[in-house]
Amino acid sequence: MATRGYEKALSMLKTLPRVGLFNIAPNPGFVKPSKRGRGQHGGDKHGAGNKGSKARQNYMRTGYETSLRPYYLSFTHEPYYLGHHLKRQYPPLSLGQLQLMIDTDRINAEKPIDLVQICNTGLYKINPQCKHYGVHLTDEGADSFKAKVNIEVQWATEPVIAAVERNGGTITTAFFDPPSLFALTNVKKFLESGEPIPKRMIPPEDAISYYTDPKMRGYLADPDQVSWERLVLAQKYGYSLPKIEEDPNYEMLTLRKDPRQIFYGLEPGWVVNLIDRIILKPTDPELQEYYKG
Amino acid sequence: MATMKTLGFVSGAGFKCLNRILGIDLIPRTLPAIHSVPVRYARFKSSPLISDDSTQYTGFEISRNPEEWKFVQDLLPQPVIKKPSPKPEYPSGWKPQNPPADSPYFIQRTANHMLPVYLKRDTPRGVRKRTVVRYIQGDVWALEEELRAVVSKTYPKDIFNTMVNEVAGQITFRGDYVSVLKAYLESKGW
Repeated sequence: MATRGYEKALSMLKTLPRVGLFNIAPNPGFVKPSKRGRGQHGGDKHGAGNKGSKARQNYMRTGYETSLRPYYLSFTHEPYYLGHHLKRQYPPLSLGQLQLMIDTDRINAEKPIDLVQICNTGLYKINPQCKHYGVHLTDEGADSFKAKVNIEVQWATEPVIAAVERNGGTITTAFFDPPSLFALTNVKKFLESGEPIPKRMIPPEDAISYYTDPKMRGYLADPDQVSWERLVLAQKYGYSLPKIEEDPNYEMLTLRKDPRQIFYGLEPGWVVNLIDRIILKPTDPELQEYYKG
Repeated sequence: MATMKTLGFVSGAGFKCLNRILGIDLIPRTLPAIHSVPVRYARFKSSPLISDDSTQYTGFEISRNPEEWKFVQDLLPQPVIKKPSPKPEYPSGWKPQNPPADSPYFIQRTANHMLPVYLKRDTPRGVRKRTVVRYIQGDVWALEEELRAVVSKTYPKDIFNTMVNEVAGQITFRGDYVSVLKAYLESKGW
């Protein structure tokens, strides 16, 4: 059966969008843009005002302010942020946060604490690509800090060192270069990559003084001077220094890394196979010398 | 003097004046390992393979020492967050959950074993703040009434609104009342 014309038109109208104020527009080409008026009184000033550089459309060049010395040259250069992108950064972690991690079993205080253990909690954010060089342990919550720990951080201040040593613990400040930091901050990913454990490089020149300072418990400082400074700090802050020699956890509290080592108990150059649970050690004397030297 | 000579060899002229500027005594005893040149020549990934012949690979020995493997296990992160073991004291102020027995509602701790009370802002750095209590099960309205009373008792002059999302188990306060609510919920054992 043939459909009639008006039925077709009605069925088409049903599918078409409704006409409303939001979709009506003039026919194409109907609206013409107004042109600049010509002639005697067609458009005297054309919106440009009366006389002057604006009426003549004669604008000054950028930065020129009608005087002998331009504004941008009238002050001396003050490079406030010179070298800012090269500065080492140490994202903070407070003693209160550390105590909370220990209380909620996110960190085991019975074992040495280093950057690996702090990053493994997932509560501390660090990115070596943003020039982050490790933990800055701050003194917030120092009064209520009660844990006895062997902790290795990258930056610490005097009150923090006092708060840790007052409880019978030990603290070391240690430097790690960025390739080592990539391994330390995400150990699982590093070990799965199958790369040999890198050796730790020495600190840059401006950090040598900090990491060789026994007052800051630097990892390159003389151990005899460090134990002397422990006593000095105890007298300065007025607490009796607990004898770690008589502590049952003496082995744990005095465990330190070699200046070339980045993981406790594992030497640079070794390759860890997590699937077969084996460790591959190089036997080439040239390689051994490289990793030791 | 021998030490300074070797250090000068390491990093050029800048190192030589270190003793004068900083007054550091760089005796060899304190710096046992810095006499070599600190340069990384290549990395494992960027180095090309020498050949496909495995006989040309560097020699290695395989260690299966369980004492060494303990250090590897200490490095690996825990797969799940464990429940904190009970301790005689908690110096950080954190307390394990000890809820009252006859409560019409239950507030679940977060995955990190903390109270689910959060401060939120309407715009990223805006001044309009909201306090959200989450993970509420049971009678949400009873808790809302209780918390309203606590806030209005602490801040009698404050005018604040609350919003209850019964399906999601959330109560939202207009304003910053995080510390008040946390202290109250902690005192009740949640």
